Amino acid sequence: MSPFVADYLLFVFWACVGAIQIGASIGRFDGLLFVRHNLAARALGVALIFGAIAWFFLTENRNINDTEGGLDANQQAMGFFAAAIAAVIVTVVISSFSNAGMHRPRPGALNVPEGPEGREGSDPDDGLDALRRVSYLTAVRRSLPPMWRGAPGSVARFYSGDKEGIVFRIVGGFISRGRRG
Amino acid sequence: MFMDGPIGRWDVEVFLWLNGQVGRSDFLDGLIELLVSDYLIPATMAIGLLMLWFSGRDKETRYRYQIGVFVALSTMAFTSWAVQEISVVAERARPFLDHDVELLFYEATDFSFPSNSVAAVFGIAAGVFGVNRKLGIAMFGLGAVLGVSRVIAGVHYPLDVVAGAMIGPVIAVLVYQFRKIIEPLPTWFIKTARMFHLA
Repeated sequence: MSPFVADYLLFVFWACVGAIQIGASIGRFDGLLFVRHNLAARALGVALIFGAIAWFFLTENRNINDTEGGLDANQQAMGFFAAAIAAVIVTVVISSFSNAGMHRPRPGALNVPEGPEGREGSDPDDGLDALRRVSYLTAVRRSLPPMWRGAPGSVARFYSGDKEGIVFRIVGGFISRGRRG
Repeated sequence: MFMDGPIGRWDVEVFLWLNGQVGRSDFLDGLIELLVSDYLIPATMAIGLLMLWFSGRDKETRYRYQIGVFVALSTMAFTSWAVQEISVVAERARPFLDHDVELLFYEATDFSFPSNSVAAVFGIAAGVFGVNRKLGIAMFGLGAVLGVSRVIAGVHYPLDVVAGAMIGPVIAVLVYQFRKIIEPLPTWFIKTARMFHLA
C-alpha cells in the first residue's frame, strides 16, 4: 500500500468516526457516543473531521493524478467504503466499553414487570433506537440470540410485509410457479 | 457540435476570464488548489451521507434518510458511467490543451465534457435533497463551489460544469424511480442493518 493510499484511508477513517459521533448525537443515540454529552460529542465529531481534513490536505500536496500515484474514482469509492466500515466497527467497540454501565428503561415501561432474567428484552426492529437505552454490545446481546433461536420463522417475520416492486413480483411469480410444478 | 458555435465561444470567453484571475492572490490560489481537489469536497459529501444515516430521531425519518443515502450512492455510481459514455461521444479536450492556461491542478488525461466530479457531487446532493432539504442545499452549494473552482483552476470549461450539474440530478431522479421497482431489496438492506442496531 502506497503512503498516499494509507494517508487517504486514515483521513477518511477519522473523519467518518467524527461524522458518526455528530450523527449519533443528533439522533440522540447515546449508546454510540464516546462521551455521553450531546454538545461534547458534536464538538469531538467536528474536531475529528476538521483535524483529519487539516492533517491530510495541509501536510502535503494531495492533487495527484491517478496515473502518478493518486486514486481513481473506483479506488476512492472502495477505499472510502472500507474506511467507513472500519470507523463503524471501531465506534461500536469503543462506545460499548465507554457506555458499559448504561441502562435506561424503555419509555413507558416503568410499570411493566421485568422479564425472567430481571431486565428488559430488546426488539431487533428497534435498530438504532435501542442505543438510546443501552450500549451497542448490550443491545446486540439482548436482541440477536432470541432472533436466531426463533429462526427461520422469526427472520421471515422480520422481513415480511414490505412493499413489492415490479421486479420482485415478476421474479416471485416465476419462483412460486416453479414450485407448483 | 454546439461547442463550435456562439455558445462554445461564450464558454471559452468565460473560462479565460475566470482562469485569468489566477495569480492575483497567493491565498486565493491556495484556496482554489484545496477546493478543486479530487478528495476534499467529494469525500466531505460522502462523510455527510454517513452522518445522515445515523441522524434520524425516529424510525420513519431514519428510514427516509437511509433511502436517501442509498439513492445518493447509487446515483454516484450511475453518474460516473453516464459521464464516461457522454465524454467519449463529445470528445472535448481539456482547456489547458487548447489555450494558454494558468493551471492549479494536475494535467488530467481524460476528456473535459462533462465534468465527472461535478456530476457526482450534484447527484449526491440531489439524492440528499429529496430527503433533507437543508443538507441537500448545503451539498448543492458545495457542488457549485467545486464547479467554479474547477473552471478557475483551468481543468474544465463552464459548460462542462453546467452539464455535470444537470446530469447528476437527472440520474438521481431516475435512480429514485428505479429504487421503487427493485423494492423490497433496499428496504431489506436497511432492515438487515437495523437487525444489527446500525440503522
